[in-house]
Amino acid sequence: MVQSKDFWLITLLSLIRVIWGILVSLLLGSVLAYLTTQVKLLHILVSPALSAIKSTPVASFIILALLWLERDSLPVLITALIVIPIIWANVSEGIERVDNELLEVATIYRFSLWTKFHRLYLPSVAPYFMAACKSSLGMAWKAGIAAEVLATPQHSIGTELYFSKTYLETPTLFAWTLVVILLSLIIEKLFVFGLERIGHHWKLLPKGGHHAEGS
Amino acid sequence: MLKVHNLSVKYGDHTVLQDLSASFPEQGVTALIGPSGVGKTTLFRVLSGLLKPTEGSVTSTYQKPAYLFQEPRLFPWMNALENVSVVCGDKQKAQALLTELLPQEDALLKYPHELSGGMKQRVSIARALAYDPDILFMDEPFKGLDEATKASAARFIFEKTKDIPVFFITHDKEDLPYCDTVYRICAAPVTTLILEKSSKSPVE
Repeated sequence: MVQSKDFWLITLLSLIRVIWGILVSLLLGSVLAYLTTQVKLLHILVSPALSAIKSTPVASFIILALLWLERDSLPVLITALIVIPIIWANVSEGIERVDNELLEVATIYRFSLWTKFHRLYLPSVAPYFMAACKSSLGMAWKAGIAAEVLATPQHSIGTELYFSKTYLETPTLFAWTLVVILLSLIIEKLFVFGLERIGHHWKLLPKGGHHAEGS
Repeated sequence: MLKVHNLSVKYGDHTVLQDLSASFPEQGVTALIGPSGVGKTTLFRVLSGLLKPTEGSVTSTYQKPAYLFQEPRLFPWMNALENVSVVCGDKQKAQALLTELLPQEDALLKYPHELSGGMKQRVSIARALAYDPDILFMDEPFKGLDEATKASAARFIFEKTKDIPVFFITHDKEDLPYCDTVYRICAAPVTTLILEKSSKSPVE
């Protein structure tokens, strides 16, 4: 299977769909978290909606989205629907837990908006963001592949899984499942490694202790 | 100019400052003394602009207040040098100040969790001075420092802030000789400031 040209094309396209879904979720989840922590009314509106999304079966979304969306973009949307609530919850918590004493330091020394964001909010939220990434990457894969199984876009791992079910090809099913597991592990390690490198390079992640001094 | 008019601060039902009117010295070192819980820190927070009064007003012509908190309040993800330079954007200036306060060569690049309590407090002193404030508030800044460190830190601060008014809260009578003016704050029935020492009348 690995030697065929189709294998690499299928794997690459599925990979792109899931990564695209993850990136969209990271961006939207973080922006939404920022907005809901700043505007209380928005939090009141968004919070129950995201809770509802979390408890709705993925299959319901997939079938509903099948009616409206192109098959190729559906896995991206489904991945985003699963990952956004996780990113939103973690980043919101990170923003809410920014140390008040350090906020006062930023206020008294008149930090610019950029300095406040870069030197206070980003490092405070970074550990929560990392935790959200770690816990949502696996979920993103599961949701993305499940969406592909039902949407059967051209050249996708999900479609191959669907065919293996239809033709009762158990070895193919296991082989593709193994591919998904391996890709999931590799992507998770690479993603987290990359984020940690960025975090340390920009001094967003703590060295040693991570508590406001003397507080 | 720094003055308050009919100032009251309440936290929920609890009144901390009640109807205080006062005008503060525009130069020299002014100490605020009084028992714990009487509202000294609250008054400093209002004067520095960190806290809005519940009633009354604050009139201040100072644009760049600096505040030395009881705790060092350093950013744990920045080293000592970055903790100081973040307020002035000038690493050389920050380094010069820090080197005077922390002569240990490697201390500048250490993170707060690698520094002792006294060293952290000195970093926060360097941070306040690097900001080039036009008024300095200090809330028990020498708490926990040994006598020698405290004396050198105090000398350093007062030397660097000769041209600006410095206000500080203390419970230590040994700090009073540094002060030109000493106010005792009393809570009941309304908050009042009693002048205990002015530069013309040395404290007994």
